[in-house]
Amino acid sequence: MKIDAIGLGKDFTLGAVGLPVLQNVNVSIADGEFVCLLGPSGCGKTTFLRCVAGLDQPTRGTILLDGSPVRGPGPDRSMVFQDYALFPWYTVAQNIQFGLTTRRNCRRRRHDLADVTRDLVALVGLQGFERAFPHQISGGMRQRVGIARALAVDPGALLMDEPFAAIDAITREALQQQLVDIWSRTQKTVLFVTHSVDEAAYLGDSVHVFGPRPATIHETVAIELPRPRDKTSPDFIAAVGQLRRSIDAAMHVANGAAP
Amino acid sequence: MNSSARRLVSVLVLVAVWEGAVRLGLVPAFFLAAPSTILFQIVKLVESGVLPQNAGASMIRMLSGYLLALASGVVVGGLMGWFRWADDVLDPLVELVRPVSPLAILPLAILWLGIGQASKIFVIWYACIFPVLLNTYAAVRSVPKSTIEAAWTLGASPDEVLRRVVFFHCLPPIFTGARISFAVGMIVIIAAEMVAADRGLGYMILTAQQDFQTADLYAGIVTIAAIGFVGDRFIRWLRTRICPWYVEIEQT
Repeated sequence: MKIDAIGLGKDFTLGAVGLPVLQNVNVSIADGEFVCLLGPSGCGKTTFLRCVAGLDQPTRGTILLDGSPVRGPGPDRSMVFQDYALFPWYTVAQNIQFGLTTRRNCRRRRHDLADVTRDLVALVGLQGFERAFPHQISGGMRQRVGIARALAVDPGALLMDEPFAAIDAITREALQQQLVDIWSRTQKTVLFVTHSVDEAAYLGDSVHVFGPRPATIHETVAIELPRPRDKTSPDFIAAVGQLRRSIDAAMHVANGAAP
Repeated sequence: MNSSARRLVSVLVLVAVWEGAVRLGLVPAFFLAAPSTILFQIVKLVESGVLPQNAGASMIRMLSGYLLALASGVVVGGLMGWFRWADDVLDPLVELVRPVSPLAILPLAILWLGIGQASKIFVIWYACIFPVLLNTYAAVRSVPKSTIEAAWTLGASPDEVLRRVVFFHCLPPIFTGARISFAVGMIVIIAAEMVAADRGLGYMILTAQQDFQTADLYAGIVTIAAIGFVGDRFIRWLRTRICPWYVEIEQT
């Protein structure tokens, strides 16, 4: 799915006052591209993602999905949440099947459902845990359920809101590798919000660097490193350095503008 | 010694001390019937049909009002939690009526509905609806926003969000409300039968006291305790069957 944001702006209302969170965001994301949105916490990058998801309405501008404007949330843009947002009353398998069993999407027949579920469970490496409830598995495993659940509806784009932020560093690295693996097999467009420079450099084809609030895209950095990327290689370290300088510049511009 | 053994021991010690105190003449049997006497009396009352008849009368009233309260409490609490307008309209009414004791309503209920079953069922319903209603209301309000949003982004329609997300989220708190309501209902039915009934455990206890039949009095009290205990266990068992995910949370 191709995603275009044109002159996107979003104000939060605090009483009678409008507080601008996003200001004039213009992005064009190609089909199949892995895009990271990088910026400090609370800068509005999650708001941008939520506008793409259809969970928030932009105040100004439009978002086009393959040329047509966003009309509310839908399974063509499934989302992975920072707090997993799994359904605690459903098992791992039932969580993954949720989007396939809605009325809107239940054209798949039952044996299909079992096949699709088995494939997805295998894709995220959760064999043997199909009948476990979410609270019985670790945070990293829960987020793998979240990813499988989002992929089940065969979306055009996968929207990921700091999905690994609550996961320990070692598990996070493994999940990053798995995500790149899944992405290269499925060729989905991925929008990945993060405040980790290292994560953005490892995952993204391109990284959109957001400044502080009201946020706009300060710079877009293309990461042209072959995959799988080696986090210890000089090229990778150079890319991380480039992103760091870009964030510093974004903060500096903002500070200069608002003393 | 594990937890269930400790629970059993505390009950057995109480019963043993009680029995001993009466047997040794420390307390006159007129005030305190020995557990063995009570047990014997219960068997006798069951055989004569007095106890089943009275307990049955109490439980029919109690369960009618209780089940009506569960159904209406879930519906009203759910509406208030989900729709802002329902909350605005109903919340003041609930908060005004709730502090009034069910026993204060009983004379009014008799005035409206007569001395028969209806007035007692109404009072039980009135006493039992609030715990269920308020638990359902709070549960609907506490569904995590991201869980609902996840359902939306996966293509669920509003009624699917209600049935597959909100409903399941609310089930365990509804069971908690049902347990509280059951205990409240047991208290209120006995009191109501003492005021206005010619049958039922409340009536049986009161007449036993008036006739100086201490053993009958205790037999009635023990029966009430047993029904309350079994009822609560049953509701908890039902919850573990219906909400397996919730039981697991409780155990960890």
